[in-house]
Amino acid sequence: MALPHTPIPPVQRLGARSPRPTRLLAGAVLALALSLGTAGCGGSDASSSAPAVMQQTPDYGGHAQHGFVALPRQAGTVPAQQFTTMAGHTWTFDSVKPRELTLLYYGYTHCPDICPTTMADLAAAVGSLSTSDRTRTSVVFISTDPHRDTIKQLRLWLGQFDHSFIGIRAPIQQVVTTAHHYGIGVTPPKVVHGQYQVTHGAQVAVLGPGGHQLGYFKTLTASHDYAAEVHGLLAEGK
Amino acid sequence: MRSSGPGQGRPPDVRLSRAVVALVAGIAFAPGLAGCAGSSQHAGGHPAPSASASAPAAVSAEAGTIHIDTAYAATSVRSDDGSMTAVYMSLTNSAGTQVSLVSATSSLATSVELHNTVDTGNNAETMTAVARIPVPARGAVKLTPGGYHIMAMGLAHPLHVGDRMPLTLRFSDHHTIHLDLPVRSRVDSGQGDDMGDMKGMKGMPGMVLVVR
Repeated sequence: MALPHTPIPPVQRLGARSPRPTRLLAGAVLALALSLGTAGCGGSDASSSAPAVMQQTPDYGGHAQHGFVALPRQAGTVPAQQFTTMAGHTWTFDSVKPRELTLLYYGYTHCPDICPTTMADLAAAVGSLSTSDRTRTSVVFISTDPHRDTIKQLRLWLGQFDHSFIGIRAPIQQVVTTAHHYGIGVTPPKVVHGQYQVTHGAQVAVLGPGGHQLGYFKTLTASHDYAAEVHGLLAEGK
Repeated sequence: MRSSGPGQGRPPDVRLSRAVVALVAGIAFAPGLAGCAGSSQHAGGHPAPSASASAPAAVSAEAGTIHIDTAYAATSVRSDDGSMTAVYMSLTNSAGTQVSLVSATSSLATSVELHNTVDTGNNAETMTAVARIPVPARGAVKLTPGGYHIMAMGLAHPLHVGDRMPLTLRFSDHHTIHLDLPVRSRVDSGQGDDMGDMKGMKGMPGMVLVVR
């Protein structure tokens, strides 16, 4: 059941540059409200929900270019959570086998822009791989909106991109914790100014054998770039 | 005429005929360009069908001081409660004062909202409905994947590449424009400037009506 999209009341001119005092004031109030709003969406409320692990998240910097960004070799444990896929199978982060890759995306289905575009790009990329590469590459989508993303919805939605994509619906706190491990700061859905707002990752994480992260792609990477990098990583035997 | 040895250019009549061909070609294509930029024209009939699904022409139009370019709808996405899609375009404002896009409606959608993608920090984002998309004075704003976009929900039917989607835009200066958008593939739609389609001579962009 979709929650209502309630428009927020009209706001004063965004980005007004007039020096008139009333506009300056309106702009300042708006800027303050927006900064508080995004901070809220980022889960940095004092009470928080921002788990300590976020402090250790690698800082990927402001505006990474499209394409693949490799990370330093990741040692240590991967998340221990055990999930059930929409097909009813058990899936764990360490299930990535030797010489295989998993492309991992945290998103939600009631999303008209980044989430379906990312999945469409990944579907085009995976579809262009050789059979050998394709059998060694998995795409996993973990929902950041388990309330609306039922198993039935996941199957329907993912199936329109690629029937081999693995969909996972899990309790939101486990979703958030595991995402944070891979440096993706999604937070639980919340209602803001009457709108039900959900977060999604701005990256596709690349997991190598054992679930250790090899790197990531910024979303909106071109499908041929996804494919070329996946092929390259597989060829290197990562 | 095969190329000849040094000292021999092409005969004058060949050069002239090639120039005439080039001139005629230029004249033949010019109305297409004018049509692309036309504002209060009713481009009657149907646009020339795209030969392939790869790059149907996007829409460009004028609404008052706002120039709309490369407007298109992405292919729709099915959910258990209906289909939705996103619409993208670039908006350029030639006026000395800001003008905002304040609403969008479509006969194909039960609801249409203006949205922005907001960085929530730590490599995550959220989408938020906004009341307006401002186009700065003598400036531009692009509705693109990952940025501002128009979200259309409750579509009457799925939208595939090659379909059309009607969309009415209303601006803060009370100009309204009806667009007939082409539906384009989502794949690689985040790859920067798609202005190439409009610089070429790809035929009529579709019916455009201006209503004041």
